[in-house]
Order: sequence, then structure tokens, then C-alpha cells
Amino acid sequence: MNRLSILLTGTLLAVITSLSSCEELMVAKPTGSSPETNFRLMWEKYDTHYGLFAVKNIDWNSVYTAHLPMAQAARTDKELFSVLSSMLHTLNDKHVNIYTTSAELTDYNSGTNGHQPAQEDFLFDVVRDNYLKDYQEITPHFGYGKLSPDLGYIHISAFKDDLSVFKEGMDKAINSLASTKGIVFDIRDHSGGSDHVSKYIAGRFAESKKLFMTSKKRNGPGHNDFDDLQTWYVEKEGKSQYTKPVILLTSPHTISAGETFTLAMRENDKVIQIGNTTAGAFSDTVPFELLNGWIYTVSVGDYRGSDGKSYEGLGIAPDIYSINKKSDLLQGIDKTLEQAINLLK
Amino acid sequence: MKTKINWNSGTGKGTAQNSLLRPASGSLRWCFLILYTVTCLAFTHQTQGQQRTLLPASKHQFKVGVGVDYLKTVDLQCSPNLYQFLRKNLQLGYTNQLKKGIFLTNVALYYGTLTPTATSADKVYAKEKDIYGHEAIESLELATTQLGGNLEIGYLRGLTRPATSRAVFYAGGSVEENLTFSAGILSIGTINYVSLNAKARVDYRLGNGRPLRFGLSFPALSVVTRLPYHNAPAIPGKSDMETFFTGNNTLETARHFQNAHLSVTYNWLVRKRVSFDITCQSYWMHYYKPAHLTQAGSQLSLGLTF
Repeated sequence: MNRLSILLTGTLLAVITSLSSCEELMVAKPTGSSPETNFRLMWEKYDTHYGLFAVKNIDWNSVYTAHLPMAQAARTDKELFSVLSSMLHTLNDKHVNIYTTSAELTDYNSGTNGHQPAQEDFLFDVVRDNYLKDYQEITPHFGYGKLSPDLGYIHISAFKDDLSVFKEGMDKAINSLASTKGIVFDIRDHSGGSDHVSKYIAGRFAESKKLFMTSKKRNGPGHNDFDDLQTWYVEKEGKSQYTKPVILLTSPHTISAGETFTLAMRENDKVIQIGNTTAGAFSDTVPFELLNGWIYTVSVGDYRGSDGKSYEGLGIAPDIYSINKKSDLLQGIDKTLEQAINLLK
Repeated sequence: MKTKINWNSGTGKGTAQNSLLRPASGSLRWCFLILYTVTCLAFTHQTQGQQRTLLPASKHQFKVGVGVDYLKTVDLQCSPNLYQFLRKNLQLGYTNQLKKGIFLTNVALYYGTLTPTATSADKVYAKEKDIYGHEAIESLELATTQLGGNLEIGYLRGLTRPATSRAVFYAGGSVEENLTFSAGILSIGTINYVSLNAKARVDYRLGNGRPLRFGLSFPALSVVTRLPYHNAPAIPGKSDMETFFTGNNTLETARHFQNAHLSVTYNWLVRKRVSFDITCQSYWMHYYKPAHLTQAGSQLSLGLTF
């Protein structure tokens, strides 16, 4: 067999072998999903990616030292879950979660030290059924209507659709509500989404350009390794702007992009925030996986208001506090909304 | 004293799990370089006195093909776990037989589902409660849909003169654009690259007179785009897609971005101007920034050339 034949036969064998077995060999299958290994992995990922150690004044090394013995002693998923939850509890961050592959353990949220509690100060069904004369649903998370002939209402519970959906939807909403003398903008159950949408929708109410937020994200393993500071401005957006008074309704369930939207709206002199303090979780959050398949999320950024202050873990306090009682809501009464209506009359 | 896990170095204090989790990039990537070098050397020794016998009869050739890829991947930017991927692809090709070589264009579109191999579980769970006290457990699939496309334009120059030899040799290069995007809870394997590839091909005539075509491709210079270190490419004034394509491009040599393809094709005429071919291809890709991404896979595809 000549040299060419040997080479071609070898190539043929290499290709055929790859078809059967060796992909795993060539990417090196990971092994050893012990509780201690998973603990170290998670600790390391936060150490190299979490953006709020300085803001929250957290000594992450001491958290490691305190939890390592427990991780080494852990033998079951439940024990591991307990150790990891305890470690993340020190961050007090509503953007930090563990999602397990167990329907029994389910999930953990750091900011609530457990599961997200039920929302008992707002129920959109109450607003739709008892206060709105007309409601146009653009998406299940976005709609508008009228509370009276001269009072408008917009409800958005997430900024998770594409920006184009909101552009089109806001055109319709503002056209429809142009003749009103004020709008109640309700984000009390806002679960977050894109900051681009926050910026755009706030721009539909803006009369001038103003800084509303800065952000920077981790770009290296050191706790102070951040990329360049980004500045976020709210400015006129879309075909027309609604420049009459707006009441923005918030609650502790207003989180993430709902809060960056609140920051942007608060730069507008015609906006009054009523309700309760927002959740206090602003940063982009990124999912990662452990060796055992559990997913956990890491807040990778440091977001601040135009005043340079971080509201992480604090939330944005309203201009006027108004907190609904669960018993009122269950009877179809939304006193916070009624207060907003009275202010706009 | 804590012990950090160091993904990028075997010299850290991470010990056992550290070395186990690192992708097999240390030695295997050099196998392809060595194989490539050997092939090129073999070509230069074999060129003299050989003649081209297996060139296509038609100057312009079009190809339509379908295939299935099976690959395994570890993307340490998102997960330390091994994922497997079965994806279908559609291939379109055009070949122009020139006087001294072959101009080729190939387009491929592919999609499929990435599934984890580390755990038998396929979902993660979260518990929610509503105002009425009703508790609900929601679940989210771990499987990730991945889709992408590949465009390659290249030229192969014939290295042998027409004769009755069994082998015809080609060498040349191509420009390749590839985008792979994962749309799931984890962005595993998301990458874009534009590469300048070295290519080689041998058409070898078997005893029955039918050709067996061997191909090899390896990028010499590439512009590679991955998600940024923090995995969250949102900046004001730019869409996430725009940020991805404009903010994280890195020019790389073969030292840091490897993407080797080996293929064998067998074809035969089914009609006067139509041939049917079956191709087996194996490939291996590795990139290191911001964390190691390694993929190894194989593809079986069937095509019609006319």
C-alpha cells in the first residue's frame, strides 16, 4: 500500500470513528457532581461575575469560609440546597435564584429568603372588572383603556416582548388616550424585561432629554473589574408624546426593568409615583448551570439612578404611599387606584 | 483557606475537579494540525506525474442536500455540563469547474435541540402562590433550541495534470461565515465566526471506477464573536443583537480558534447529469474566550448534484 492509500484510509477511518463514538472523548465529559464541587462552582461563579459585592458591602471570602464545612458535610440534594440557599441569602438580592431539578425542592430566591410571596396588594382582574370602561389588550402583558371618559389607563406587567410590539402598542394607546387629561400607568405586577423597552416607553412621555440611569457590568474576575460605564437617557420617542399628568403605580412586585422604567419616569416632572416601594433589583441577571443540572442566576451589573445612588436591595420609594389590603382586593376594591383617580380629577 | 476552581489553567489549586472539567483542548486540537500538515506534505510529494481524471462533466453544478448532525459540546461560559445535539440541516451548493481549479459556494441552514447529558432531569422548577393561596409549581425545560447557518465561498486549485492516475489533488482556501444561536434558558454554543480557511481535497478513484472524495478544512485566521464576559449584552442605544455583533469581535489565529473538518464523499450517477452522493463528515471546534467552548460532532448527509 503506498503512502497516499495509507493517508486516505486513515482519514476514512477517522471520519467513520467520529461517527460512532468519540465526540465525548473530544470534549471531555465532566464528572464528579458532589455537593462540595457544586458549592465551589457556584461560589466561584459569583466571585467572578456578581456585580454588587461593593454596593452591598459583602465579604464573599468569609461567606465561603463559613459555608464550606457545611458543603463538605452535605450528602443529599436537600442538604446541598440548604447550604447553597444559605450562601445566597447573604446577598439579599431578589434577582438571585436557584432553580432545582426537583419538584419537591423547587426554587430559592435570595431577596425573599425562600419563595417569592404571593402578591396581595394588586390584582389586575379587579381593575379590569370594576374600574375599566374599555380595555384593549395588545398582549397578555400589555393593554390600555379608560377609567372614565377623561382618564386613561395603561397596564404593563412585563417588557418581555420585542420592542416593536411596544412601539406599535404605545402608538395605539397614546392615540386612543390623547384627549384624556391624565393617565394612570400601572406597573404594580411588573416582572421585568428589557431596559430598552423601559427607555422607549418612558420616552413616549418625555419632553426633554435627561439622564435616568447608569450601568456597568463585570468584565473580569476581580470584584472591581467592570466594563465602561453606560449612560441611559430618556428622551422623546415615537411619533408623539403624552405630556399631561401621569400617575405611576408601583409595588414591591415591581422589579427589574419595571424599576428601571420607574427611574426613567421619575425624571419626568409630570409623573407622580403612588403605591409602595419597588423590589430593589435592577441589574441584568444571567443564568448558569451547576453540575447537577440546577440553574442559578447571577446579577452581573451595578445599576444606579441619575443621582449616582444604588437602589439595589432598597427599591424606589413612591412619592405617595398607598398599600392595598388583601381583603379590599378580594371584594373588588383597589384603593390605591382610587387615590390615583382622585389625584387626576 | 478557600480553593478556587480555575477553568483556564491546570496549574491552579482546583485539583481534581479542575482538570476533569477542562475541555480536551490540550492535545486533541494539535492532532488536527498535525494531520493537516501531513496531508499537505503528502500532496506535494504526490503531485508529479498524476493526471486529472475525475473532474465533473458539467462546468456548472448545483447541489441540494439534507443531513443530520450529532454533536457534543461543553460551553463553560454557561455550564460545566456536556450537552448533546441532534440537528437537521439543509445544504445548497454551487460549483464552477474552471480551467485550473474549482470555485465553490455552499450554504447550510441547521436547527435542532440541545439536551443535557449530566442529569436525567429535563426540567427545573419554581413554586408560586397567588392571592387566593393557591400554590402552583411551574417548570422550565432545560433543553435548548439551537439554530444557525453557514456560508462558504472558496477556490480549490488543481495540483495535478490530466492523466490516468487514480488521484486528483486540490488545495486552496475559502471564506466562511457561521452563526450559531441558542434560544433557551442557557445560551450554550452561541458563536459567530468569519474565517479564512485552508482547504484540501483529494478525489480518489476506486477499483470500480467511482470516485471517493476526501476533504479537509482548517481556519488559519478568524474573527470570532461570542457573548461578552458577563453574558448580558444590553447597552443603551443598541439592540442586544447589534451589541453582540459589534462589541465582542476578536481576531484569532489557529492557535486560539480551531475548527477542523474532515469529510469523505462517495457519489454515483443516477442519471446522465444527476449524481447522488453520501457524505460523512467529522468536525471539532474549540475557542477559549471568555470561557472554553468545545464541540465535536459528525454529520451524515445525502445530496443530489445536477
